Amino acid sequence: MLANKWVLRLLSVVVVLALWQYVGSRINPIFLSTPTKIAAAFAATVTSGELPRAVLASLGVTAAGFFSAMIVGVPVGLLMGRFRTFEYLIDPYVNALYVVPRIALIPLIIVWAGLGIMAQIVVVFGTTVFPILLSTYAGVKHVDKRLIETAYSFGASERQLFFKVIIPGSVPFIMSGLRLGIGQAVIGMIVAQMFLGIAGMGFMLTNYGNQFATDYVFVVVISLAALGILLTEMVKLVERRFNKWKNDEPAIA
Amino acid sequence: MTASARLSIRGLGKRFPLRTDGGGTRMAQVLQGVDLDVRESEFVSIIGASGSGKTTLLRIVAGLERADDGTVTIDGRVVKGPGQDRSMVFQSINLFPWRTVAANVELGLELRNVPPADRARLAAEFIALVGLANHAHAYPHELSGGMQQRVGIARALANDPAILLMDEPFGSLDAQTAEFLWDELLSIVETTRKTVLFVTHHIDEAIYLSDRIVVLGGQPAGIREIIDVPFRKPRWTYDVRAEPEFAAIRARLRAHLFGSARPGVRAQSVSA
Repeated sequence: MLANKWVLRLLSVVVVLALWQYVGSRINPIFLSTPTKIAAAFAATVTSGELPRAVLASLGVTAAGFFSAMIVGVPVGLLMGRFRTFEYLIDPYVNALYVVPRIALIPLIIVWAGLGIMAQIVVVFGTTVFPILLSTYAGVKHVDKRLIETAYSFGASERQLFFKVIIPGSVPFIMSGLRLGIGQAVIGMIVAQMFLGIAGMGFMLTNYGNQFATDYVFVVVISLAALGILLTEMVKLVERRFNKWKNDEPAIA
Repeated sequence: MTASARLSIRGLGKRFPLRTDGGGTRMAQVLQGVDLDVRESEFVSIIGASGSGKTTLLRIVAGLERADDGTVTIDGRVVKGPGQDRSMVFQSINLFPWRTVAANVELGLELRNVPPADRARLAAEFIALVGLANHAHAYPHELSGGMQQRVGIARALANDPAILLMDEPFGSLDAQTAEFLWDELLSIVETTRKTVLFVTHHIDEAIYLSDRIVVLGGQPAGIREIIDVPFRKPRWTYDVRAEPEFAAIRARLRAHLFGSARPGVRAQSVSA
């Protein structure tokens, strides 16, 4: 049954690639290009070092934005979830910024942070921090009330409750937030580099797009898909490590 | 008031807000004038129909709710909140799912900043006492309901409380597991000489386990009767439920809980 599943998938990919090759080579290459041309473009960008350099630049921006979003989003989410005073002081900004498409802030970010790497990191931070912050907040709100009461009945102080019940109890939601966040970070990185970049995968995309070099555009798109899958799987690995005490599904699928 | 009373409840009253038709609230008296003394190493059950305030009474003793009238004292100290002198065993068990059995049992000790080595030693001792020595490093979801509640009991005992408070601890388990745990609990209590205040709505369970049974009832609820349970211990060595006296106590409790269902059996009220 399992073998059958993979045979079907492989068959599907082969048929689609063959069709693509057939149709693509009979129409203007601007529209579809062909798998063989894309493979050639891939080889060319790898040997010239252009693609590896772009991937590295993009990874750096993604990682810097993601980790700074985590460092801010998790603690703020925890505090907002637990302390009403803090929640009411902060939630107007969180709610306002959350509904604004972060791309709309790019002109402001350019004014504040210029056109360099820093501005790109700020954009990634902006797209990533909200899923992380809001998931963490939801995690705190979903901590089993009975466990809180149990901790109190065994004499827990507010501080002990926060560190021994609230934080570990929120971990599944925090992990879901990080998983959603990494996807958002990749989106933010591409948008930032398309607008602000002179390097990276987003810049490659704009550059080759403007030249109608469709085969090269596909190289970037496929590399992005691979990068996205890789990063998400890495977060999932960490998530499984933290959720080893659970046997059920993640809190947010 | 007996000199050796470990737990002493005097004039206890509790009111809860109740929603009215008009959308407002009024205060409903749920408990009134409850007086009770529990001696050291005594096993006392509180029984009553649902809504009779038995869990509220236990939660007040635990310090999880505040009394509106009266006082609760333990070894002469007035209860003002949760404390190390009482440990609770919950119907919903409430183990921390991210902690292993050992780490769950260590909870109370950890909160009191007992050094890790002592914590580990005490936890191992009580895990062995409840018969889970081979499962000390398992996570709660890997255990059956009955095993989980044994962890709950070990967690409560490890804190070395003056009184063990048990809120329908076997209510979420199947009947067979629950009855098996009755004997386990009696043997644990015999070993540790703990004082137990036990809430249940299960008549046989109350008779099987208790030295005395407190019947709560009425509106507002108060103590209707306190029944002494005379069976000799240890009770797991013979069939307590085959004793003629068992049927008599059971009929009396049934009359309290379900009204006088049978002719000739009438509830006797005692003024508390």
